[in-house]
Amino acid sequence: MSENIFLETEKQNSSYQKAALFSPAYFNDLKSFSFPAQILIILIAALNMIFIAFVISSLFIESSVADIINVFSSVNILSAFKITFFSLGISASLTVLLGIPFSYLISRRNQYINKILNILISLPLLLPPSITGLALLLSFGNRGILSSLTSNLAFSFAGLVIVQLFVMLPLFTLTLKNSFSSIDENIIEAAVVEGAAENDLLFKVYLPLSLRGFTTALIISVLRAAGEFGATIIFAGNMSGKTQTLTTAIYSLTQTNLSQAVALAVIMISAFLLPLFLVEFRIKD
Amino acid sequence: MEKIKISLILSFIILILIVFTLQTSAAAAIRVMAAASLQEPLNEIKEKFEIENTNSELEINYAGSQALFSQIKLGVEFDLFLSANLHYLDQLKKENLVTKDKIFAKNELIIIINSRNKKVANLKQLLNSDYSLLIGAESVPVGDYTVKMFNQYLKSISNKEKRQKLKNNFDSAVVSREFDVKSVLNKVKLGAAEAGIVYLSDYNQDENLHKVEIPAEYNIEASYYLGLSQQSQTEAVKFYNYILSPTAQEIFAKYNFKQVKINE
Repeated sequence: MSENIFLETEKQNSSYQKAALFSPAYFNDLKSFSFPAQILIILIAALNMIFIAFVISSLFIESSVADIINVFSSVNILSAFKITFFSLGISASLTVLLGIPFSYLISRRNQYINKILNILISLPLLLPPSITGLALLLSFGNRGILSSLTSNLAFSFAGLVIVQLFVMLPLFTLTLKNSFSSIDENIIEAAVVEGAAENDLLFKVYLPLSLRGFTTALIISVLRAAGEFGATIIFAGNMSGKTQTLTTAIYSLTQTNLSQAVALAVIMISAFLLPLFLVEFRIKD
Repeated sequence: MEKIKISLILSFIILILIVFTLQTSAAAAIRVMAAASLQEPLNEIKEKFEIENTNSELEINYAGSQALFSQIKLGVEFDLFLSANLHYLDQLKKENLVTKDKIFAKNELIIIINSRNKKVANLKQLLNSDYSLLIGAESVPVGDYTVKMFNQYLKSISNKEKRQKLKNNFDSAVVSREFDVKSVLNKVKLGAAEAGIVYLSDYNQDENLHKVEIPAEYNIEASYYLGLSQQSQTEAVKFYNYILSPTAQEIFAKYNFKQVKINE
């Protein structure tokens, strides 16, 4: 009997979670709107879709298969692939390592200090990349306030990882936190009553119940970091084989070899689509 | 509640329409695409020009010449193109996007050192130090000039081993290839890197920077070219002539550009 209730709440909880993460609940029921409003909503949605499709397809139209194959013969681009994947691997691991305990902390105790923490970690998320880059340069550069602690990290691979971590961690933490705090209180209480310790709570209750939230958080934060440009170019610089990522390589190519830039952009968009499909269709709650 | 939502959406759409109509009805300004290194003199020239010609307005877009070049090729509307080398202007000319190619200023390279670091006396000392070096990307005129200058410097060294060693030192000293000269300048100023190679005109008295001159024997002469868009308005031609006028040339000279003989 008690098991039944547990399952029931879990189901409710996960369906709520799904709605909260990707689709605002009120759009689920279009019929609740009056007829003209329905038409307006459909019209706006259609316009939006057409707009996005047009913009993205312009790249696909402009590129050719030969260009795309050509991309893989360029040493610079291959090293940009390597740098991008390698740096993302490191920063993603660090993000998971630091992000899980942090999101657990701020999701569990609804205290005043958590609101402050919330604001603080939201800030990097909303900061314009140019400001992020400048701030990193000022803190880690030769004259930086952190320069006494570290060697000069600007224009280094470590600098690249720092930039990625700076944008990934808040996105990951906030997304996972939302997922954590949407878990039914009753489940938590039940676990606590049964004598679960804090680490049991995190690893046996919170994480298993928010697998979807976790994967989503990881994927979108990795994609966000993969697309990071402004702060990277300011702080990590542009050095092929050392700090040049795919996004900075694309920027560099738009100024010299447009067809290769477009081809690389097409490859990158396709690579972005795969994990997004994964999030929408594959991950079961 | 629904009515509020609908009216909100409608007013949003109307707002967008208003913004669009406003943009199209705004008076057309003369759009100038200018190499980043021209920023200081050109801003002063712009001010003077607008005082003398009250009915024309200038809109100057500064970036690395290669970035401006690709923007123009992609169809950005412009009236004048001020390039830091001939290469990009020439290519646009071949594609019939630009007419004329007139030299209006010249420049040369210098080394800048962040003043927290010990000053070095010349290029050789710089390459034998452990300083990190910022230069322009190969596609950026200043980066292209830097590589040319460095190759000429290498040629002046007869010892083959020494030459190879200096070349290796150069390659390992360069930490980033920036997309315009001002990024090199400002990042060295901030102390993100110890040294950089920029134009002479970029350097002005600054407590954060030392200047190290590069001898004329292997320094390069960077020439700035001025091109006019095919469908330039008369106002744009006026500004074209203004840049070649003595008033503008004096301003260029003030910012350490080398003057050119202008004869038309």
